[in-house]
Amino acid sequence: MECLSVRQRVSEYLDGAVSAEERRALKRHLNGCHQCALESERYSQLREKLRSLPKRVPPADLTTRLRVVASKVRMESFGGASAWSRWRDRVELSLHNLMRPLALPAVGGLCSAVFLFSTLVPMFKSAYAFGGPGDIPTMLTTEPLLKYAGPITFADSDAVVDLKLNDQGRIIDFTIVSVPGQQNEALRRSIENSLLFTEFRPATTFGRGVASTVRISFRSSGSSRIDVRG
Amino acid sequence: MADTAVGLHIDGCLFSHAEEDALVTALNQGSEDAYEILIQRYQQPVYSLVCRLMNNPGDASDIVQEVFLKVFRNIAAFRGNSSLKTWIYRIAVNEAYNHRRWFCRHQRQEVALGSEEGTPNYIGGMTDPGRSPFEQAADHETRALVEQALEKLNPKFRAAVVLRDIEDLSYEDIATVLDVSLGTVKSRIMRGREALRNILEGRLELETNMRWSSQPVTE
Repeated sequence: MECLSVRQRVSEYLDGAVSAEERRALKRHLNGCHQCALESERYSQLREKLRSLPKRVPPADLTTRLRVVASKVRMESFGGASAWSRWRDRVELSLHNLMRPLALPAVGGLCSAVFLFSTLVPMFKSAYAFGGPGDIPTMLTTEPLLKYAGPITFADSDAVVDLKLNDQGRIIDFTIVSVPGQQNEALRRSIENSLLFTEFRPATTFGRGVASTVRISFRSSGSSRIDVRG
Repeated sequence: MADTAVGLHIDGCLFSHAEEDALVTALNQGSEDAYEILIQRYQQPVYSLVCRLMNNPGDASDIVQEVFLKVFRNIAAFRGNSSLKTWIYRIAVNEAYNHRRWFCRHQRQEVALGSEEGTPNYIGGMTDPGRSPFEQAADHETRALVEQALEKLNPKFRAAVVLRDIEDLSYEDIATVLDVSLGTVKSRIMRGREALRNILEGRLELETNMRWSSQPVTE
């Protein structure tokens, strides 16, 4: 074999990629040719240096990234669940992720509301409970009440009178609504005398006296009776 | 689970043919453990291969991720005509080529700012308790020179040399991975080694005073 041919095949020879016959021929030539043997030795050393190169270390996060890829592919290929259940799972997950940050504030708010309500309820209760027996409920509107009436009897006939009261409960005006028969003057005097000695408790709104109107009817029965209607 | 049925386990560095078949079957059945075994088994070799095929190792993680995505999605298309390792390496080489083409087209001039991926990390092998600190430093320098020389090599020659001398694939497997003929593989390996030797000449003093052996290959 010639040197040129040998040097072209020495790479394959080192890798054992030549036939047995070629190997024997190459070996024979290398035993006798110092230059070709040196060439072969250089290739051999180069190959050893390449083989001694250390392996590269993958970054620490590569395994995790590959596991994520594997998981995705498995879900795509072998998810098993129907499209509807996958969609439902996705919605549930989204909802869960959405509600999770709100869970603590919501529970905290509810607990605060319960605590404040339970603390304030007794305060509302005491506002009504501590009042005396004669107290007027401040939150209500009351009608005028008859305090006392004059001892005048109506002997002749019945009458209905509208009274205008001021915020002190005093009568400031009156109007005779129904006057049966012709006894106006006598009846009028009788009514005036009666009203002269009649007093009312004023109507109230939120605990304060206000002006109001009452309608009273005088009856001519044996004992005088006054019906008051606000 | 299907895993126990097919008896999957990582035992040693190499899968036997039966184990490889069992792994592929389990992968096709969607076994979570099979995916994990595949990752554990091939993550480092694929990363190492991609790093050496790329001029910019900072992108190696992204490429490895793409490689495994294709492997997972196309495992059903694996017919067993070659070994699983060869098939995965072929995908890795194609991905690295595609990325390099994209990289050259866009002429990206970014510089990794001290990222972990920008600076290569190595598994062990760098320290030998029997060697002096001087020798260890010399080894380190030699390896750095060889790595730099590899980066300067023509990508086609580099892939052939890396697959043969670093990944220790057979010529037939390299032909499958690179999708070229056996003669082309031999030519690329020879020319790649020659180019590598020329690059290293002068920078790396090969040990010529070693005892010459006429039997570098076992009979």
